[in-house]
Amino acid sequence: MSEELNKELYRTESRWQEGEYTVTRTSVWTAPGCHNGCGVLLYSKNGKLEKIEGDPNAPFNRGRLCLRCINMIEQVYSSERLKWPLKRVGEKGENKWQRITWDEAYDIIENKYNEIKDNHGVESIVSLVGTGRNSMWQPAVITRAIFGSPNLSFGFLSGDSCYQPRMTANLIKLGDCVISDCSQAHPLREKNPEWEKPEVIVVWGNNPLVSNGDGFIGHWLVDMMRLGTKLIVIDPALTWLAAKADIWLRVRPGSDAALAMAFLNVIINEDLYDHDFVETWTYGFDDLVERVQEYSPEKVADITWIPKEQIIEAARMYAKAKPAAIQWGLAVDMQMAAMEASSAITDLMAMTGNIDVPGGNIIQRYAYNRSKKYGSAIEYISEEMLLKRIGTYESPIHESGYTPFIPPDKLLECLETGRPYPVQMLWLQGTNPIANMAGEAPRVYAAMKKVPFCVAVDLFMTPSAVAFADVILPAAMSVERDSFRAWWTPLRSITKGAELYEQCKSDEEIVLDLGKRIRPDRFSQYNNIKEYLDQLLQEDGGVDYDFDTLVEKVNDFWDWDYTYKKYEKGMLRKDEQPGFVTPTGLYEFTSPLFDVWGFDMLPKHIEPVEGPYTTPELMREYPFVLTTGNRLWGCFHSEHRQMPTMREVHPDPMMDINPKAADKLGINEGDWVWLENRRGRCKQKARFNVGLDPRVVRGEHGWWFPEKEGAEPTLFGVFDSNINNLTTMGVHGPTHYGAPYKSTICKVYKVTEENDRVSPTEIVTRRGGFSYAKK
Amino acid sequence: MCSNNKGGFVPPDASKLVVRCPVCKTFNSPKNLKCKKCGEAMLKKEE
Repeated sequence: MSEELNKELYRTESRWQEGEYTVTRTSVWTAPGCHNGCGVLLYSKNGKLEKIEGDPNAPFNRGRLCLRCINMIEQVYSSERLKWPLKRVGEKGENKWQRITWDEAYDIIENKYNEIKDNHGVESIVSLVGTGRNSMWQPAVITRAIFGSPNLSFGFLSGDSCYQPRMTANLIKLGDCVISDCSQAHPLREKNPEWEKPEVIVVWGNNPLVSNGDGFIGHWLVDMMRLGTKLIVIDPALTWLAAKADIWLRVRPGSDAALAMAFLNVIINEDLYDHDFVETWTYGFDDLVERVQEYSPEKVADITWIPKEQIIEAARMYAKAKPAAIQWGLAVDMQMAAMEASSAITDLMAMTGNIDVPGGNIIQRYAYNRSKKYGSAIEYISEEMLLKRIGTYESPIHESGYTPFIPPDKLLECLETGRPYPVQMLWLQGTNPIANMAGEAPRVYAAMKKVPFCVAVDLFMTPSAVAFADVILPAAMSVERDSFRAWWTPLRSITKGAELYEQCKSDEEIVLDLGKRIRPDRFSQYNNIKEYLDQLLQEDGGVDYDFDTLVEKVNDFWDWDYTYKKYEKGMLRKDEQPGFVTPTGLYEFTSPLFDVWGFDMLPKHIEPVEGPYTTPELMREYPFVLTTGNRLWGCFHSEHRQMPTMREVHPDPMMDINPKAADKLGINEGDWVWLENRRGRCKQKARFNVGLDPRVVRGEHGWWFPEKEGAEPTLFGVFDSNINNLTTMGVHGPTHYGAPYKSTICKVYKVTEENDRVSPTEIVTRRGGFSYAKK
Repeated sequence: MCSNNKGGFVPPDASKLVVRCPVCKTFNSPKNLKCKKCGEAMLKKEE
């Protein structure tokens, strides 16, 4: 863990020769792969990557890698990779393409851009981005700085329900974002004399060993456990971490806000809160005290299906531990009450005095304020053009700029109705929406088909590219690019360790190429990528060195990030006064902003729109609560399905069911079963899971089958096992954030020859969708 | 607005999103001409 390394074995330069191998010491930040930027050693020969290892001197991952990185070579040199730009020659969906040059591709795009600008307005160009990786800020720049459109969307992720609710709740209540402090922000890691080990970590709604989400690597939890940290795990499923926890709370999906309120109830009523912090640094405590009385452990036990004794025990354990951290995840976002749950959980951190203390939840910003992830490029958009953002003015939090995206649910309405204006062009970069993030995927498929022109930038041919694209641009992978990562700390180099595959280009190159053609006033000054990266590193008070220097450094920690109690030291506010970046200058249990926007000032529980307490009559036909989105070792979202090794690890889509529930339905482990509700159905393979509540089933997301025919009606089988045939769009929480991806309902029954004559994909692509969904 | 050259996680300037009544200190929308609680005329912030 923190033992000394033999420097002769583990070198600290950025590049060296080792026999016939050139070794590049850097980090990878996908695509392909997850959110994190793990330190790696890239071994290449004649420009070709031959081996990849974890970098033992990388403070972030300390030599450890997961399957997705270890298997990188298979991905980089997969024969399935896109090799050169393609132009559609058949009808959309026929999967017929013609190889073209980059110049030809850019000509098509530029001509279409000019035509749209002259005839419809640039606002009718909409970009879709995928999850938080190094292919997210580039489409923001392309959309807003180059095309001039304000319309950037988080795919069709209903309710922006991936980190946006948690971040926004953090930003509203304390003006910054917090993450669990495993001493990852300090170069000395656990040897930092100021740091203290968390006595308890609450792992709330995520499985970070598999997912490594939101800049947090799951290994840090194992490191903390080795030091003696105890875990409370809140998860509907018995994960490895839950099995090792002191307390596992098997929560009913979608009831996390109620659980957090019950924690607050116990902590307040048993006087376990941090009086000093609450009295000195917070606003609205008395109102919260009154609200939490509505959430007694007895009442919340009924809501969450967790015994009240366990709720009380867990709340006491968390509150009495000094320090304690909460490591939260996507399940908090993927429910109707996402903003409310996020707010209540943030209140727990504040109530117990664990914000920005060693071993608590530390306030983090991008290293040196280099915003390379959810970068919005909004500063390029005029006030007049901002008014044309689709759907934004129906969501005051979006309107105010807390989220750089337009609301995805409103974008779907726009595509379906043509209001406020028809969308003329879609730009898809690093996203495969109908296979992955789009709720109610068949509905999104039909809506996207209406858009006349579409460009996809990707690594592989995808169902979304086949169904919608006119031009496809092949993107470079992380190991083929020069770039950098600043999402939390340290600032990390991303250095090219292999020559570009065929004619692929990096996302940064595509930005510069298009920028020079369409907006030379903004991009002609950059002669190459390094000059552009220099600018991004140095502008607005960034670092005082260039990209080549960062390459040499590999990692650079920012002391701001590892300073504790920044709110006491005047390090948060622009006026340099102590306090938080909020209207009151304090941590806000009741939020004036929520009030002004017309929302409840305090957190509360909201029942899912479908479920045992809201639609008991529907539960007779659809008796299971359906949760989705659990992470896989071998695949990241819809990626990796082309990789033989990954498919060997995880060949089929799996649904989890308690064996007692399966037995009643005559389902054996390994049977193919249908999961079905009022919106559609999909088929997955049954896997018994004794840890799952018999009233809950779990389905995997992201499944499509590159081995199947790409042309419609087969379309790589994208709807055959697609759990988003059953999820929703337009069913978000009152703040427009959060959607019930993890808390809808379904029935389960065996697949038979008789009930499987027409595939779901053919039903969607050729028969207008599931007939019962139209009723 | 959040912006990508000033830190994407730094929130918008809240002082432009909410203002305090000069008399009763209640938080109001900048769009309000009068305080929603006491009815006092809201002072227009100078740009």
